[in-house]
Amino acid sequence: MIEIKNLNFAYRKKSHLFDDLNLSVAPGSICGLLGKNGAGKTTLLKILTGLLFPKSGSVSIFGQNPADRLPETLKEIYMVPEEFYLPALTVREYARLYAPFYPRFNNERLMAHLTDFELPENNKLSSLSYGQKKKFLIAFGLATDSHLLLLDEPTNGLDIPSKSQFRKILASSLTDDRTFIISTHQVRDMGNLIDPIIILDNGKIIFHESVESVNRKLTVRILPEIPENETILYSEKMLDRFVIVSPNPDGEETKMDIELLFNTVILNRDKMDSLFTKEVNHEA
Amino acid sequence: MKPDNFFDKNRFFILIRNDLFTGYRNLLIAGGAIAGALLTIYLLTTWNNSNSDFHRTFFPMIIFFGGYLMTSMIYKDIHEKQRNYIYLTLPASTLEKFLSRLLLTSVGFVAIVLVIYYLFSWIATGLSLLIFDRSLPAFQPFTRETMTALGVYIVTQSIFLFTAVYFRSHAFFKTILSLFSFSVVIGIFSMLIARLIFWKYFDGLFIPDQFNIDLEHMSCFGESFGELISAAAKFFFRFIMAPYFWVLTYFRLKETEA
Repeated sequence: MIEIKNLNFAYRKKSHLFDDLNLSVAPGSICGLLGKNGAGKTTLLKILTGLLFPKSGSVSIFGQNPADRLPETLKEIYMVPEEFYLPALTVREYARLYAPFYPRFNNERLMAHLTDFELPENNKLSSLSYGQKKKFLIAFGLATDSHLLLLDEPTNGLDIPSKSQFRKILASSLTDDRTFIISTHQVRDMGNLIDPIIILDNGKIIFHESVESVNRKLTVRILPEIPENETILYSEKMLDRFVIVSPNPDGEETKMDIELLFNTVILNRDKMDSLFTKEVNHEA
Repeated sequence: MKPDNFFDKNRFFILIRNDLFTGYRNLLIAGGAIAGALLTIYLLTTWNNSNSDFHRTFFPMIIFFGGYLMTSMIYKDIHEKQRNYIYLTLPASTLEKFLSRLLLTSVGFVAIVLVIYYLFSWIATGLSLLIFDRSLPAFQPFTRETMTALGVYIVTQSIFLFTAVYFRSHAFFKTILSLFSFSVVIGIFSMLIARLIFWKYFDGLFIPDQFNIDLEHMSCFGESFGELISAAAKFFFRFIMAPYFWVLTYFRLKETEA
């Protein structure tokens, strides 16, 4: 379980990035962390990894504070950063050096993922392309079997077949005790992978809902015109038609596109708040 | 805290192995540079027949300059944004991470240099005999003088280890500059203290030559003041300085953020 309470964080010489941020993520989910540039997604991932320390508040990863960087905690966290360096080692050398730190590391799984990603085993990691390096880190992270895998823009640099391979591998690697948090702008690459969806804006979590709840509360329609006398949360012109997001009064589930959802949330914070809070109150 | 989270022998050895493996290219380059410099300068010295104390001068130079330079670069990875995630998130304790690099840059470096230097000093002697039919006195690794130099290196190296974690870039030059600035400040401060205590003996900025402050004849707790200061300085240097900087390095490493 990941629990963040009243998190405050600021970079030196900058105003506060997070003010009393609260977040709770249950295990067994692939959580999508979305937000505009500079919203604090990468910072949040770094705080969860213990790479940055909060100014105040508490962060708990399975009951441990990641900022303590205890081996017991670190062996359960693996982060694939957006920008990274890999040493001039082959896949096998890298695994031989770093795998022993992860007690449940599964070498067969690593090799299987590398095959899935069509990665060469004998080349130096430093000589691989950016996308190949990223695929290697994703494969290694999954093979560690750590309970928390943090992926920052994992599909950046991946070719089209690798993106679908990535989704398959990630979905098949999820277990009840693992949590994957994916920070991304490439929401279309995520397909049906992420659930719940978390949206970060101006240092606050402004949206945190399951896909099921989103599909129940919102509806997407493609219409020739924007209907009058109807609550429209978001609309987008698409050639000669309009894509319209509106509240779903009869609760009939429709499939929501994540990009549309993101834009709807960003432009209608209050309306979305009341729409989803109503449900929470109703459920409570 | 569970003992496993503080220090685990197996994890520590794996960490040392990793540090050695990932840094072996640098070690090879350093070893090659030492060997090359030794051979060249040795042969030039023999040709010139100029310095019978060659190893007494050259060996400490290699140990101090090479060691400080290597120590200054040992934590380069934690200051590089794209690299530091590997080291900082590696599931090993801060103590293990600190000790691993301390050992490599102190005892490890000394051992490697001793072996390379000893080996190449004999090769240089052989070459010198072959070319010039004469050689310089052989290198003696276990003399009191060599051991003292190694001891001094291990103590003073702790400063460079700390600054390697502290400074984000150019740690070596910043350390030299800091030490120089610190010496100047201490010098000025001592001069001011002396000026305040012995103000009535001063003539302008200086004390006239005929006035001599002899610390040997000043006593404190029944001991000569000069000896007391010397004993305190030796004690500080031998037992306080290195542990002090090691503790600072450990905490700085613990608090390092990406």
